[in-house]
Amino acid sequence: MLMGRAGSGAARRWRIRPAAWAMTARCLTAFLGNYAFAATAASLTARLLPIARVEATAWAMILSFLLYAIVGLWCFAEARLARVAGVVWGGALLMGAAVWWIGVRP
Amino acid sequence: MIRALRQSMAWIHGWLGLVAGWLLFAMFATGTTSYFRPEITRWMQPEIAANRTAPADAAATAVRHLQRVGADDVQWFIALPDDRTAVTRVFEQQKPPADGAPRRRRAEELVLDPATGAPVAARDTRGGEHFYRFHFQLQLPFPWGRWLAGVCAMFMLGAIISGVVTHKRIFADFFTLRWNKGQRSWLDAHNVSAVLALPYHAVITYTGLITLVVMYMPWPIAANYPQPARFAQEAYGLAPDVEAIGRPAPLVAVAPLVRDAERRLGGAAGRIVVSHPNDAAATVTVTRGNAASVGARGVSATYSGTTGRLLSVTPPPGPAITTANVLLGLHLAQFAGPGLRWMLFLLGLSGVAMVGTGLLLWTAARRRPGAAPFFGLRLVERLNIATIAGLPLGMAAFLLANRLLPVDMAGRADAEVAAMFWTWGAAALLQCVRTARLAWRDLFALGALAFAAIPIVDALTTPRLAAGDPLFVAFDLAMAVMALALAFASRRAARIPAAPVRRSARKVAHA
Amino acid sequence: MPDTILIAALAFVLLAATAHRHRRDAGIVAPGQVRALRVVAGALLLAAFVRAAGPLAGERIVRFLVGGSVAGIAVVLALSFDAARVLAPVRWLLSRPRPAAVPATVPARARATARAQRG
Repeated sequence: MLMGRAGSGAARRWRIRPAAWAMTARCLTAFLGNYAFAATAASLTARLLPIARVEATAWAMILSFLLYAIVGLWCFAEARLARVAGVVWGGALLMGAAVWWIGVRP
Repeated sequence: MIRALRQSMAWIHGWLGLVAGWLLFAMFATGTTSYFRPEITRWMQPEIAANRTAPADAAATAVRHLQRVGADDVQWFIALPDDRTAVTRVFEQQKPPADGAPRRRRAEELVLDPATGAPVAARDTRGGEHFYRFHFQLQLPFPWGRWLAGVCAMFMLGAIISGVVTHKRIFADFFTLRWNKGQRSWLDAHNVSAVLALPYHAVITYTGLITLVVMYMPWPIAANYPQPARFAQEAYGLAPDVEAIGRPAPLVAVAPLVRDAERRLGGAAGRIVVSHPNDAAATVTVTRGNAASVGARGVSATYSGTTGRLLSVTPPPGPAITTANVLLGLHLAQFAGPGLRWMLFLLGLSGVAMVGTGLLLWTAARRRPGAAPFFGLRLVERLNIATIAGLPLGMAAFLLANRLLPVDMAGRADAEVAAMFWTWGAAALLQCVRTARLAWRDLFALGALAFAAIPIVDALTTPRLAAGDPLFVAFDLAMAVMALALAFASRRAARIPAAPVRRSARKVAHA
Repeated sequence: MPDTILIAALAFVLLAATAHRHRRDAGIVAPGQVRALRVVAGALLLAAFVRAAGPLAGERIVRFLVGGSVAGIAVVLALSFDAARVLAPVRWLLSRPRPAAVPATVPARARATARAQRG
């Protein structure tokens, strides 16, 4: 399904179809990129919520799993891989940069 | 658009369920078993009688023993017994030697008789702890086991959400369960076990992830705390650690402190931590047990170890921390009385059924009558047999080993664990010499025999069942019921299926 | 705990009767009956929730959901074995003759005529 035999010559090579690369990229985005997305989103939320430090941290941690699950499923519901990769990896980068730039709560 | 969403969710639901299914089956099975963790431990150490000592007195006898064997320890962590746990467990943090030599290899965990404080004389076993630890560590070294379990739990969460999204007639199908219709029946069984207990499965899965949230998602702590250790102190209301002064001072009697704490905190004490005993800076922290509230993080009272004066009580936590405590408590369910606990056990079994029927549905939907099964189908079928029929056999072997191995054998606790995995492994491999149908029949039959043997072996090797001890009667009855269920499964598996598959795999979820 | 499960089970039997596949077994002939059954089932579930109190704060919702799920699974299993027998009480309930047997739509004159003819 993902790989097919190419050519009928003496040296039969296994060819990886483009769809396989796309699916691999989608899976990596949904599992790893999504983790970065959820972690940076949770960190940013915890840092910025104007409530007690321990409370903000706890809320962010509790809700992070729900965010991960929903974004993860969206990665497979959305047909356009470019959009998926852009939102997830791009979002993780932006939010991570924001958290790093804002710095730890004093 | 909704149809495309349903189709993509059906696709990911199948993949998430398949990839994580075998591990999730094992996690649900051992987790459901762990509702009765202390009872299993008691059954596996029949030499120890049920506990009748109050926590305060158990604390006193434990401290008396510890003063004899570890008066210069840094910390004593004492888990107190209750009506389900028959022993006092102590973890000593010993003082590092002054000359920098490596620490003496004295046992770090002590198991004491609550009434006398003496170390218990009973067969060495892991007891219910084995199933409990397997449930979230999968017998792998730290941290890989917990991470793998966490990944599987997240796959489960995705499978739940995608399963609900993709189920087109979730209310119309509520009461649909048709027997003897092959693939249709597996789908109905999967829907029934999943949908009717959906609140339970969703809560168990999410709260399961929450139990290890600090490991899986520590980043918000790093964003808010320059010193991450402060988070635990603020969240759990712990007093900051104090150093030993070095001036010796006698430790105050702990039993009155425990009773005072129980009165203040409104529940029986679950554990006490004595820091720097016999030092002028000694403190005694008494924590309420988990049976006293749905929220699992017990409140504590801290006293001076030299004068017995109350130093602090955990302040009531804010809404977020309370939520976290309740989520943890819902997963552990230590607040549950016997009736509720048995119902939770049944729902846990429905979770096992949900995962098992899902795996079986996968193969049923892809089997073509008259066509040779493709490699993936054969692999999944064999893994299904190895897990669904093999794991119960392994668990029964663990319990049988507890009764059959010599009581004073060295390394017996590890031998019991080995019995479970060698049996499971052998069953998983040897089933391949049989056809799939006969492998199902034979492994289920062996499991039935193993479970049926447990009450018999119990009666022959220990006096408790004959004496009518209620825990042993209930346990052995449950084993007999398991044996009947497996025998029934074996008979059903031996039948040659009648109805040919008519629906294509793609239509499985959407009819 | 047991009473929560029993009341919830009763509610689920009534709800099952309104499911399309079981309507014939339940003896449903009018949409009004479906609505009535659902209302009663809802009231029973509310009663189960009220009865589900436990000694600890917050235990009620746990007991209600747990008891409800156990009841649901039990009812569906029972229905899968013998739906007709499980729904027999609903059939009996729906077939009882109403006290005001004459429908209001029959005009008064026709009622008087019928009474006269019966003599």
